[in-house]
Amino acid sequence: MTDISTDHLPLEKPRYLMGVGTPVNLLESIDRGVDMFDCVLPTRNARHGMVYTSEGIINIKNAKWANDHNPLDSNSPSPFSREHSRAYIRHLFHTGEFLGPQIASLQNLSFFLWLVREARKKIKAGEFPDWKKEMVSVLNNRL
Amino acid sequence: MKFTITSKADSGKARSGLIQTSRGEIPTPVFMPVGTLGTVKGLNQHMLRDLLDAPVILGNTYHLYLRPGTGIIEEAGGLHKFINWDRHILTDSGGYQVYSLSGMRKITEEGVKFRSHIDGSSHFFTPEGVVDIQRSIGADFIMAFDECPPYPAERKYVNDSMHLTHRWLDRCVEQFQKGKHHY
Repeated sequence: MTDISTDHLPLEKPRYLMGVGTPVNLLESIDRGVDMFDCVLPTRNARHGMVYTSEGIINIKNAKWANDHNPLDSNSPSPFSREHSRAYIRHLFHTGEFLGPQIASLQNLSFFLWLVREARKKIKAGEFPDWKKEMVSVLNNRL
Repeated sequence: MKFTITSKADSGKARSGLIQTSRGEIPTPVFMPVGTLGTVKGLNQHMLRDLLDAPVILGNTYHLYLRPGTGIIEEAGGLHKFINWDRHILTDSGGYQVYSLSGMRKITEEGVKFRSHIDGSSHFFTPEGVVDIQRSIGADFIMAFDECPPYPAERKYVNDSMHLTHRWLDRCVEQFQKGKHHY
């Protein structure tokens, strides 16, 4: 539908795909000529412990992170994600502390904003289609 | 508002551009954090501005109309002042929320009668009314009132719905052009 729609929309006006979507949805839609997005996914999923990172998706509530003292995402644009460990954030979620969802929301939004910022850079550099292919496989990773 | 496309991908339809308004600039493609009730849940405005550098956030007409109500937002001098946010705000028209949240909705050519998901009180949204609410909110980008059909739906229903939304769009544009910025 998106592909068909953007063929009929005027080129000179911004296209807004409301309520979309996952990081992969964003890249696929940008490739089809969409300019604007919004979605509750980064914040809603953050409140449930689902964290988007530069290496893939983490459910921070899982026991496997209990002893992982590495940063939540060492490549994150959010300082909180670089300064706090997975074990700590898992502990915050485990104990129902407010700070857990807040750090996760910052991580997810900073990741989504980073993703579109990179997309803009890659479009300008003429590297978008190749970069998109690479990113899609990383974005689907479940850690 | 001005929109300029600054570059295009060699293959595919990706493009990068710049939206310019009197409030500032928004490079595209852009992702807009959702702040339905005047808050991006869990984060404060300093985080949104200084940490995330978000150029635009969303608000929602349906939710803000019900709580706190347009009266309080107008007293504050608009949503920007109410929430202390000087960058762009886009408001969704509430067409989707009337569909997804309201227990009861009755659609006519004139508009939609619905019940609040908070207290069950009865309300009536028209394309003109929804433009006026978004003027009171003082959003930089306002959306036209639409009928959001369920999925799946019959072809005829979707087709009729699209034409209804197009007629409502004309009414929204007319109302928008008749009115003025409140702030």
